Amino acid sequence: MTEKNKKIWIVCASNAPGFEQSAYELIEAGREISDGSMENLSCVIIGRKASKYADIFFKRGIKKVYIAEGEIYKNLIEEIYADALAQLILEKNPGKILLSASKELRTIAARLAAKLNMGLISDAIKIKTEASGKTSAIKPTFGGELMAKIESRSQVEMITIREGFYSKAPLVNPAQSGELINFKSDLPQLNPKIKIIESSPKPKEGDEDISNAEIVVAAGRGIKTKEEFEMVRQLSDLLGASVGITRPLADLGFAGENCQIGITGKTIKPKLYIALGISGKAHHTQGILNAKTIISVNKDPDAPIKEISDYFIEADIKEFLPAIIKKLKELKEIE
Amino acid sequence: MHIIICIKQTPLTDSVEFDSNGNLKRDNIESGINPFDEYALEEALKIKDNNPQTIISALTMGPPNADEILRYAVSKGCDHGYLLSDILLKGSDTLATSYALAKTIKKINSIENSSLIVCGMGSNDSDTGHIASQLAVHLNFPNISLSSRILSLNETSIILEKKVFENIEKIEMDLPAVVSFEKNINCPRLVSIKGRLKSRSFKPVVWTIKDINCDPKKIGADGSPTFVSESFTPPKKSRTSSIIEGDNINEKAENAAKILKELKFI
Repeated sequence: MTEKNKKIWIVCASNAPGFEQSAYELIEAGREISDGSMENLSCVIIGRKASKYADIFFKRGIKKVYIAEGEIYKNLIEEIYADALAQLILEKNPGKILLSASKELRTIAARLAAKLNMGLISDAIKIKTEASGKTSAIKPTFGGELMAKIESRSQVEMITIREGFYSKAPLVNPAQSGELINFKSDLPQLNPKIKIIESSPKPKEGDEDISNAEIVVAAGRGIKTKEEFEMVRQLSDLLGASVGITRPLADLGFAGENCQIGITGKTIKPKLYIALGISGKAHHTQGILNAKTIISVNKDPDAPIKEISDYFIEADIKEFLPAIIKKLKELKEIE
Repeated sequence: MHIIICIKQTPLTDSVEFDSNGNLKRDNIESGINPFDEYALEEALKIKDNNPQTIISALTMGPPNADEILRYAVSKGCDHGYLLSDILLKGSDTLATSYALAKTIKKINSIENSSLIVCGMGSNDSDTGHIASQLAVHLNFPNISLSSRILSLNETSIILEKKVFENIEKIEMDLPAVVSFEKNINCPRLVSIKGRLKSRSFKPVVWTIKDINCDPKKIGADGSPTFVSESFTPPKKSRTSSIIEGDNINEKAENAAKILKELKFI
């Protein structure tokens, strides 16, 4: 590998609320593919007030931060972001570029890849350096039923990484500072062909994000009606838990995307996971592999969820829910 | 107005099974239109509902039998179907695919110029979601990815709604342009009997790479910067699967509550 190709960039967009969390995971992924060293890692922060965030990366051991900031980045317009990043990449020649696989960043990465004629691997859950020096990535396909190992023969490799699969880079030195490079792009201009007419806050979805919940009570296709789902909520309330759902229930609109668990939703690691009427297809179970304790309830004694559960109850969910709710209420009253 | 909708033939996720080496079990596979394309197709058809002079062409790249999804698109209300099919395209990654599709769109435009290229959010098999953005680069068109609906449309511009982080944006874009749509944004219509009858006589336009003036070095496995080197079913992390027993449902619930108590969750 030539010297310049050792450079790994973490590219993040500071307009995304909570973007730091996924950036810390990218740092860990980057560190892993450079043999544990931070030496070759730099961050690129692009966004309206990007420079505000440089320090938090220095504190995590990053020595060089590139900043692309200003009003031009106020709205996330793919073209503007991709043009600025393309210019920076051509100037500085990184070898590998890591970005979050969030839907916003993924489309920017796609545009960037086409613009610079680079290979792009999307939505990796694990990356690794091969003997050739190139990076390979494991990516879920078919909704998580199958994993594909993707390799790139591109000179500059770009990979988007799914959130929740790497640990977060820890704070190493609160006093650390580093090299801050302000990048004034001369290329990106507001494209007169695209105008943002209005931008307003999205109405809140009913349920909170379950990413960090300690107890999750989740419902799958065994739950057929709103009434049954209401019982799921009741059980969840009794346990002080958050409600989760599988993709089919999200598609049916039982709850918002914030609570969807699995490869197309959230990857979670709660202390307790209760799976109600969930068969246990890989696209769902990939999202709960790191739960501490898994209890599942299913009327099919051979449901695949059983195998990955610590405890299994063979029962019809329609009968089990009222029974357990009644029991827990009784116990509460005794206390 | 002429709209081109890009669709893909994929195995229906719920019907696929893989052996332990990660090879698709080819028996009993049902394939059809990528489910995410249904929402984009519905958006295009809604435009035609409001303005019946609209012409919609469905475009796909795939094996010869991918014409089935074009026939399906016609049965739903599309006017034309174009299939780009060539063994040399095999192994194309998203960069190569978007290049070949852009070349095909240019060829369609030479027959009847289009103003709007519509795509789904991604496909249920490879699930990358790159194509719309990359098409826009190859065509040098502006694009908006992952729109949630069309607010208005005229001959020269489109106004779209899009969720970006925690905001909803209203965006106006000049045509010609590329738009991709999110999933679950509408209820895709069912095929009508009239539509089904119409699609019986449907004949797709079938092109090979010779027809679209494309550089053979930029397509197929050799023209693709990324490739799949291996596939496998995800490892299962088995656990003890202790059975919580009980003669009836109340006993089972009671025993479950005991476990929750032992684990200190109640």
